[in-house]
Amino acid sequence: MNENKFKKRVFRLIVITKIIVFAVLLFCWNRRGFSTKELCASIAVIVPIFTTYIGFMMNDFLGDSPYISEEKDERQDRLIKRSYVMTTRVLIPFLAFIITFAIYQKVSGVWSFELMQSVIAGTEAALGGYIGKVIFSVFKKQE
Amino acid sequence: MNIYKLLLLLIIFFFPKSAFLQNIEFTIEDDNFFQSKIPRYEKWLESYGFNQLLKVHEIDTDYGDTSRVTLILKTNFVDADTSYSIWKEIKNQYDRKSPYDSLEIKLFKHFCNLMQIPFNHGVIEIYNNINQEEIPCFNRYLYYDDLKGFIVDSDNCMNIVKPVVIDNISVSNNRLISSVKIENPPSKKVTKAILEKEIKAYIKNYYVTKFNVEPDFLIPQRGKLVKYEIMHIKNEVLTDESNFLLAEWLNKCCSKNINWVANEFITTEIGFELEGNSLVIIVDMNGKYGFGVMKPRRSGYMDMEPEFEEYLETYVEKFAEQLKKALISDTNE
Repeated sequence: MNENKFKKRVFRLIVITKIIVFAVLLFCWNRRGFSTKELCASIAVIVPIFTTYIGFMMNDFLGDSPYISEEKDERQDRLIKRSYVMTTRVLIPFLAFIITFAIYQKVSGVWSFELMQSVIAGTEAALGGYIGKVIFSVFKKQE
Repeated sequence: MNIYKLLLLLIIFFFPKSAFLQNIEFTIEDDNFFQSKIPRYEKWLESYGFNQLLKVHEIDTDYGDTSRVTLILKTNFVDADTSYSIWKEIKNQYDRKSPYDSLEIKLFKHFCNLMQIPFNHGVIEIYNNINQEEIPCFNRYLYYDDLKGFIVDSDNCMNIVKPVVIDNISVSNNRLISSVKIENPPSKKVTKAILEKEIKAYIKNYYVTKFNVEPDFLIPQRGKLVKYEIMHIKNEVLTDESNFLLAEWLNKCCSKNINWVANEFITTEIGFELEGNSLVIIVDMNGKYGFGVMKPRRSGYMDMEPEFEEYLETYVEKFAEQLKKALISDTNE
C-alpha cells in the first residue's frame, strides 16, 4: 500500500471509530445511562489523545501552504510495511471496541463509572502508544 | 484594515449590549414569590437533615440596581461553639457523601433554583446570633462572583473557644421527605396494623394498575410503617422523558413496541406520627434513574439528585397527597 493511501485510511479509520464512540456515549447519555457530569468526564478522557492524532494528521494533510508542491508527489511512491497496515487495521477498531464495551458495562450496571473510566484511560494509553507510533512515523512532524 | 478586522469591529459595536449583561430588577411581586417559597426551602432543609442546625430567619429583597435576594439562615443554637461544631459535623458528613457539590454550594444552588434567580443575584447569610453583638460568633456568607465563582466567606468574629462533642447528627444526601396531615381520623384507623395494611394495599394497587409491576415490600426501619422498592418503571418521576426518535419511528412503521425512556428505581419508606387529633403521614423517598434501552442492574442506577431534584420533589409531594386521599376515602367508605 502506498503512503498516501495508507495515511488516508488511517485518518478515516480513526475519525470513524471515534465518531462511533462519541455517538455511543451521547446515545447512552441521552437514554440516561450517564449523568451529564459523567459524560463530560468520559469525553475528557477520550478527546485529548484523539485531538493529538487529528492535529498531527491535519497538519500533514494541510501542510504549511495551501498550494500543491512537487515534494508531495514524490512521497506518494513510498510503500508502507505490511506490519504497519495490519497494526492500524486491528488496533484502531479494537480500541473502539474496548471503549464501547466499557460503556456498555457501565450503563448496564456491571461496572462502576470509575472502573469504566480507568479501563478507557488505560486502553487509550496502552494501545494509544502503538497507534501513536504508526501515526507519528508516517505523518509529517510540525516544523 | 482588512475585511476580518472590520467585521470584528462591527460585531463589537453593534452586538446588543443586553446579550452580555443580564440586568434584573426585582419587584414587590417577585418578593411575594420569594417569601412564598420559604416553606419549601425549610422542607428541603428538613429532608437533608440540615434542619438540625439551620432554619430560615427571613428573605430580604433588594430592589433597584443592586437587585439581590438574601436568604438569612439562623442556627438553632445561640452558642457559637455548638453552632460551629454541628456545622462542621454536618459539612463533613454531607461532603463525604456528595460527589458533586459541597454543603455550602448545595445550600446556595438550591436556594437560587427555587427562587428562579441567577446565581449572581443570590446571597445566603448564616448567623448563630442575628444581632451579631457577641463574640465569639459563627457566620457564613455564600454568594457567587462572575469571575471567581462560588465564594464562602466568614467574619473575623469566628473565634471558636472550645469544640463541642456532637452526637446523633445524621445527614442524608439523596432522599426527599414529604408529609401530609389527616385531621381527625377515626380512632380505629390510627393503629399501626390497619395503617400498614391500607398503605400496602394502596401502593400495590397503584403500581400494578399503572405498570403491571408489583413493588417489593421490605422490612422498614424501627418506627416506620412500610418500606418498598420498585425497579424498571418509566415516566413515573421523570415525567418529561420522551422516547428516542428512532424507537418512535420503528414503533410507527413496523408496529413495534420499543420504549427507550429512562428506567426508574424508587425506594420509599412511610412512617406516621400523631399530632394532637391529627395523623401525620411521612413519606421518605429516594429516586434513581438508569439506562432506558435495557434493564440495568441495581448498581447501574444513579441518584436523581442533583440533576432531577425538582422532579423528585414534585413527585414525593404528589405521592403523599394521593396517599392521603386514598386513606381518607377508605375512612369514608
